[in-house]
Amino acid sequence: MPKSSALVTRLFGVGLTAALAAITVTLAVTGRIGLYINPESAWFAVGMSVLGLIGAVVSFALPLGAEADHGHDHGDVDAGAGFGAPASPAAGFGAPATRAAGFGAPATRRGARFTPRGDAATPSPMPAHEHGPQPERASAHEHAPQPERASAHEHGPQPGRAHAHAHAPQPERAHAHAHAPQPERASAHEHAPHRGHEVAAHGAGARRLRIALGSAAASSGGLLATGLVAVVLVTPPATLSAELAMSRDTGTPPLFQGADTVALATTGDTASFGVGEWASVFATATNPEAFEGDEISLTGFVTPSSAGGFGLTRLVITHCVIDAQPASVPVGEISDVPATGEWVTVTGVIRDRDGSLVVEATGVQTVSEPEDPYEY
Amino acid sequence: MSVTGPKTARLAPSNATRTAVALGIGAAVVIALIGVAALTPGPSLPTRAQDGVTLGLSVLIESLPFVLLGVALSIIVQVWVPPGVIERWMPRRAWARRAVLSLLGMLIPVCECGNLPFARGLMIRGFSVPETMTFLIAAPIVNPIVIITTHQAFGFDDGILVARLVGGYLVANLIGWLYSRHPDPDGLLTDRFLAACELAAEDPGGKGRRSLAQFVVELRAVMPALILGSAIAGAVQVLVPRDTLLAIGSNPALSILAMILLAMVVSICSNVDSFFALSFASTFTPGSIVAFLLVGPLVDLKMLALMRTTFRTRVLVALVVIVVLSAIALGGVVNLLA
Repeated sequence: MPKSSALVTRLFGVGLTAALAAITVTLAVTGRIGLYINPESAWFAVGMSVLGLIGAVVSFALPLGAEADHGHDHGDVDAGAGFGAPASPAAGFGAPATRAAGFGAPATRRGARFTPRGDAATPSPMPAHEHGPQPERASAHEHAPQPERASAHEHGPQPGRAHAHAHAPQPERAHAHAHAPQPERASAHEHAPHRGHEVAAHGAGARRLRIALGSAAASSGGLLATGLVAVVLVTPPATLSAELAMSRDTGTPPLFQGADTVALATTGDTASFGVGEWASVFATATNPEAFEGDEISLTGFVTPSSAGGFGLTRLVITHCVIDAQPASVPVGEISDVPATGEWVTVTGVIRDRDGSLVVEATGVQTVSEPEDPYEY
Repeated sequence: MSVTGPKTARLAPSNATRTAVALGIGAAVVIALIGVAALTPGPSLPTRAQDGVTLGLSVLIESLPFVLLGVALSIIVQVWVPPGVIERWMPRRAWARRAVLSLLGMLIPVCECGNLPFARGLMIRGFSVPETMTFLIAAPIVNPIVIITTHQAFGFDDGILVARLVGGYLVANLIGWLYSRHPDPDGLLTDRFLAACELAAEDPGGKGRRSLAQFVVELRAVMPALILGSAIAGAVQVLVPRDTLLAIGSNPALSILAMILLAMVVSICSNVDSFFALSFASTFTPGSIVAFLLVGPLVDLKMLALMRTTFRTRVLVALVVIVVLSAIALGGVVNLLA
């Protein structure tokens, strides 16, 4: 793998992660994480982001390209080669018959794997017996793709297959005999021709083209993602706009608070209520007259209302702003309605107008946007 | 990171200094990133674009920790759990293995975005493609956190909780069974993922080194997809007016379709989507809520972008079709019963 592509791997993976984790941590430190997610669950996001940043720092210790230092181009790998690793679990599973198809290929490959180093295959059944799984794995890791490529490119698929057939049973049996050697072997044979067929049908050229297209798409995706993260990194955090709140208003109030809030409200303990709670009460109270004359002081932004006056609105969040729902309390007729989207603190009294509640404002004061613009 | 035998053997003494320098550079880069994020020198964007950025970023901030957790679990399962430990207590029969794997989410409560790196780890470890798919589909729903939050939101009203759990479990096993009949499971995977499997398989060195390499490779695969998926989710939210989607209202059949579309668009994490759905419960039929809760975790926009890193497009199309049809069927049944 050339250095440049190794660098790209780092940038699109660890780099993007580090940038996003840095954003998360910075937001939390500056107390603005509430603009994106519910601060109650921020500990998890921040904790994992810190771990991610530590991982990013440590990943610098891994030499560039070391994640792929096996010295060949993946473009040429046979599709099945990826499952070289599973060879060892296959032995452990005892490979029931149905699974055999999946593991047929590794079995074949494993047979083939020992061909170039003929000494390893026959004299010492090195893999499973003496040292158990670990060295077994090591051998799988180091050599799996090697013969596969050889078969695909140097002598074409057919001779490669022949090798596989000749050698597969021997080592495979060594691993799997405890459980179920029979299906494993059978699958190796039945699967191998299929792959051969696949290779022949598609042809190396088409395959290479597909991989080239795939990696081109992945690179442009990575570039696009990097651009987006760069934009996010340099733009200041912002609150969702009043327009968005209005476009999300479905006419039904959010019901996060549920019945117990309304029950609480009737007992008169409404000091801690925000716009969200009051909106629930206004929408669901079965005894509106109970609230007649209650004094409130609420802060929110202004949205237009069809009934005269305006709506005093807040976005209510359960987990993150993607689930933000507008909650609105109607403020009755007043002479000069503030501009839409403006933040105001309304003091007033609740009035029961023929069974529907409104706030009769005694004072509407323009304020700047609060530090925590959302309710949770 | 532990330094194991082979690694120290290979490292010359001067490499310790080089590692220290590399770590220093890494720390400097990270501090620089935090600095830029804190200063935010850039201008504000137009309102609508800014809303899109805010929404997309919030999805990212919400899902990044789960992705990191998923990558960590994936590294553990690939590098640190000795071969055979998981396999030993797995049943032998294919359907039984899938049935067990679809309950694995109960032990590993990672929501859907963290499941993908973990599922990749399972496949690299040697679990078959249909088995891993079963896990991938079931885990975001059959999961303790999701059960708790769904119960908090709905209790046992209208059988929504039960329908969601049973539905998720059955759909996952249905998909696993369908794909277990596929003649060429490797053909379901992207070439890039197969190459990644091979890389993971043959990477030499100690466990610490392999873990780091896996960290680098997995993030490379997942992060761009996560970012693009979140960006699409954010953009769609500001571009597609929600009231047109919801105007369909309480019609038993249309409401199910509307909520399925909404679920695919909003891309909310399955841990919390029930609270979101709750606010629609007053106007929408229970069946449509169930459909929302079933489709969202499995095939929303963000999840499709993530899954595309690993599965071919035709697999994703098939998944969407199966999940949506199942959700329609289940939603219809719930509407008839409720």
